[in-house]
Amino acid sequence: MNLFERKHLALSTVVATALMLGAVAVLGSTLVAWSNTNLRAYETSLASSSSDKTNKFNEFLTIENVWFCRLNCPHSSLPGMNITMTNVGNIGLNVTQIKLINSSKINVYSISNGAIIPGTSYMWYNNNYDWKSQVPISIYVTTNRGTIFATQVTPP
Amino acid sequence: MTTRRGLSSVVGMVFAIIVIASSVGYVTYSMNLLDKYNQAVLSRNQIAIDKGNENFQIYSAKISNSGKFNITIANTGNLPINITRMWVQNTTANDWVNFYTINKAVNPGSLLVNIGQSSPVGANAANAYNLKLVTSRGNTMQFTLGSPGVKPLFTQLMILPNYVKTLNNVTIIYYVTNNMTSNNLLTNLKPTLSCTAYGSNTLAQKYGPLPAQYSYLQNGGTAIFKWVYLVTGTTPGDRFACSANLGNSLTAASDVGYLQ
Repeated sequence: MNLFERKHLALSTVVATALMLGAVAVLGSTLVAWSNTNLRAYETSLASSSSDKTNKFNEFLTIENVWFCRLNCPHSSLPGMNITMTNVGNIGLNVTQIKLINSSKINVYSISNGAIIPGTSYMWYNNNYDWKSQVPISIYVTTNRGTIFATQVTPP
Repeated sequence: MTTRRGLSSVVGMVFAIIVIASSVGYVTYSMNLLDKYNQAVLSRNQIAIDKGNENFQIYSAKISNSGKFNITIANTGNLPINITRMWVQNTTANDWVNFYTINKAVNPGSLLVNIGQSSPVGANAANAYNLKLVTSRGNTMQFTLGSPGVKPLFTQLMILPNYVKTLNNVTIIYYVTNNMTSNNLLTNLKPTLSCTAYGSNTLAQKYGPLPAQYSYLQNGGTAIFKWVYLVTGTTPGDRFACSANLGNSLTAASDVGYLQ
């Protein structure tokens, strides 16, 4: 009687252990795979976001000079203005938009060739901007990373 | 019972190792990212601090006889400065803007001389110019350079003594102060003196002006010119008058003397 009972007990233990191990293996593998996938996605997102923010933070543009013309403008008989921007940071940047705001109007210009490598300048010439003498103009320069550099000038 | 305890411990350990490894990996990765961001912040701050520490001043500025700018700057900060470009705007003419590349470094405590001498941009001493020097860190220094006839100046003419006996000398002193606002530098100050004697008086110039000219007068500076005249006359009370200018009415000054 005792011998018979011991055999049954041993079999059920082995089966239970096998089932438990199998379940744990399947559940564990699934959990690890799921976690790994999630972590990989999060890591990629974090790396991309961190890189974007670091690069954006490192953008350093100065608006070096702004000059105006009215009577003898280059290549045009209309009044215009020239903005010279210099990249004084250590990474390249791309100027995508220039916005000019004075007391009466807002002009937004898209720039398609505004890539500036470190240590170089980009001269943007607008040959049809009717500025007014002694009326201040706010200049906003936007890069493709979303950084905005601003200054204010007063035409002569 | 002993066997089952051992198995659960192994399983638990495996899970614990997975959790610990994941946590350590994530923390390490985050620390690396933070370190990179920290480096970027430090780098950006250093650029901004260096930009703020740049300091240079105009040592002298004039238009040379060859019709070129001749500017000297002094690096008064504690960082080397690289002057990259000079912008020139002729404010006497319409729409006259030009620039040229310099790319010359100046060490702390040193001078950078002859800026503008090798430039293709010419200069006329009769005109006024708005100049801007740009550094590689993005700082600029703007100043005007021109003849003294652009705006009124503080001038004064003094005849010393005002009462003089016959056959004595009078000293005539002409003061010109550059009281223009901001960085307005004056160039080529050459005075002209005109004296008229009335009644029995006669005036004979002995010498002057001394100096003949100031090639450069910085903002806040004063130029002093001196003449000496011999006065002769017979009737006390007769007067003589002098007026001086720098070639235009905006700089005129006058004074009167009498025979004693």
